[in-house]
Amino acid sequence: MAASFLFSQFVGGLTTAMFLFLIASGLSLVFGVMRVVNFAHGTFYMLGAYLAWQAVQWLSPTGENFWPAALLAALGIAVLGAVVERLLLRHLYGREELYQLLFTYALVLILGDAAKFIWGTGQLSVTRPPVLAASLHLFGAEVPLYNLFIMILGPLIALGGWLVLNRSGAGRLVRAASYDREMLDALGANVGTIYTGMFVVSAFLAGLSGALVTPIESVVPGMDVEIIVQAFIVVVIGGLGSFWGTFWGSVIYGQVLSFGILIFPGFSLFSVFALMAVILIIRPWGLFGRPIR
Amino acid sequence: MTPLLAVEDIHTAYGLSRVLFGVSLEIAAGECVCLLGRNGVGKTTTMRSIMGLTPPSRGRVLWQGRDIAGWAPHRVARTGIGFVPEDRRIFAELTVWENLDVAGRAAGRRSRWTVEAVFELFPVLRALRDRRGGFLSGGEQQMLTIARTLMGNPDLLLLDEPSEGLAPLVVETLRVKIGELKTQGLTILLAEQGVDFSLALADRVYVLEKGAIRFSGAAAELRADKALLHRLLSF
Repeated sequence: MAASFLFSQFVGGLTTAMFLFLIASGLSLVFGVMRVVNFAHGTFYMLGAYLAWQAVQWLSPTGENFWPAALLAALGIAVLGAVVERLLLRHLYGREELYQLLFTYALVLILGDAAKFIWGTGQLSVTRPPVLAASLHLFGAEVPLYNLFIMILGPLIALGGWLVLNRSGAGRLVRAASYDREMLDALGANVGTIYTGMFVVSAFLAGLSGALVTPIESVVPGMDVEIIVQAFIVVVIGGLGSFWGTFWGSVIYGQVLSFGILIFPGFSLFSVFALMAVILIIRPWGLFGRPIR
Repeated sequence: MTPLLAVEDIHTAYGLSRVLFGVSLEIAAGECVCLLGRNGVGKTTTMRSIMGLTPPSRGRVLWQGRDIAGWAPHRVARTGIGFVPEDRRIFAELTVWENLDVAGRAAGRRSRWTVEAVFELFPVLRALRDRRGGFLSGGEQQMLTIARTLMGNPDLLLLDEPSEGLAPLVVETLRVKIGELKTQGLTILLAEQGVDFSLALADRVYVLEKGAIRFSGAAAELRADKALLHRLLSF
């Protein structure tokens, strides 16, 4: 097998990984801090993609205004996240987890149908932004600049997120809220506001990754469920609620998927499911997670 | 003069299990008042009711004359009531310094208590500045919990069984520190099972039994009356 071919598989895997990281990090953050498993996270991703397509149509169908369109879409999903958390999800904290699961699953169905109603069931696509339309030749393989951009953006967001969580006052409050919500409340912090903030950031990340995926993949109904399953596999591999676990979980997922296809060409997801099964047997709390006390 | 805090006839329950049956007490500014009673009589619940963590179903909690019963805990904290829980509840993954910093941010009000000032009060903590809360001894954790609550600059400190489970030497250190806080003018409501620790600090005492106040009076009075002590607390 040629080295250039392996390298391009590697690049493909890494691009998938960074998208997955952007999505799974929000899922993991909301679970880690709020103990809410948000099924609708994939829906935020899909709606981000639809909104980006819509914004591109409004601003400039030829694509030169892709960046503002993507930002607009991500902000739109952040607003949606704020509305969902403030008006609805808020009432379910402290209840059985089943209620939160049912609620976020209901959102998947309702928002998914709403998207079909607005944008139809066809495939929509967005052209690559002109600045990054070219490709680079690396190790004999052709690497689209856009993929390179995603591969740089992912680690940057990971590093930024880690710095905010571990080196800033706001991050300390968020970590304290994840360990003991009630105690932090008794110390004077409005934990409700912190929760809203976390949910909004998480929705923003989902919306942003949905918007950024549009130049690579077409926007179709069902991409919400497809991505949420993958994001769950990532957080299970890395450890639910663990920040770096989500990052490395994504990287492992991307590479296993990319090279697994070479070994089992007919079953693209077989190798990742097999990996998840093995990890669940050896370390049920994931590679970077911790056993629940 | 209106007392700093007046609890009037509060009834509190956890779901269907009722714990407090009409508890009333008063604390004047600068006083150290002890809430004595055996395990499970409602000391913690009284404090949780004041703090808004388990709001009372009936009765009033008057803070400087204003009814704060049913307020969210963070609002209660921001009016100047600090709670030091019995189980300490240190943020185990955060360092000592981070625990203190978070508390200062959480309170969001100007405080005479800086990290430096609480290190002056508890010099042990200065040396442990970068250690994670989960790796502290029980006594160190107890000091950190008190220090953390002080960061919010409370006017009234609710101390829930600070001496519980600690070695005698550590208990003695704590008693001295709490005494210092009292001397500095901090108002303290102290819940305790042990008579020695609490009566050494308290000006006045309330004895709780089965969710109601059975005795209230000067600490000296209770200390002197062995028969009463025995009847109320079986010491």
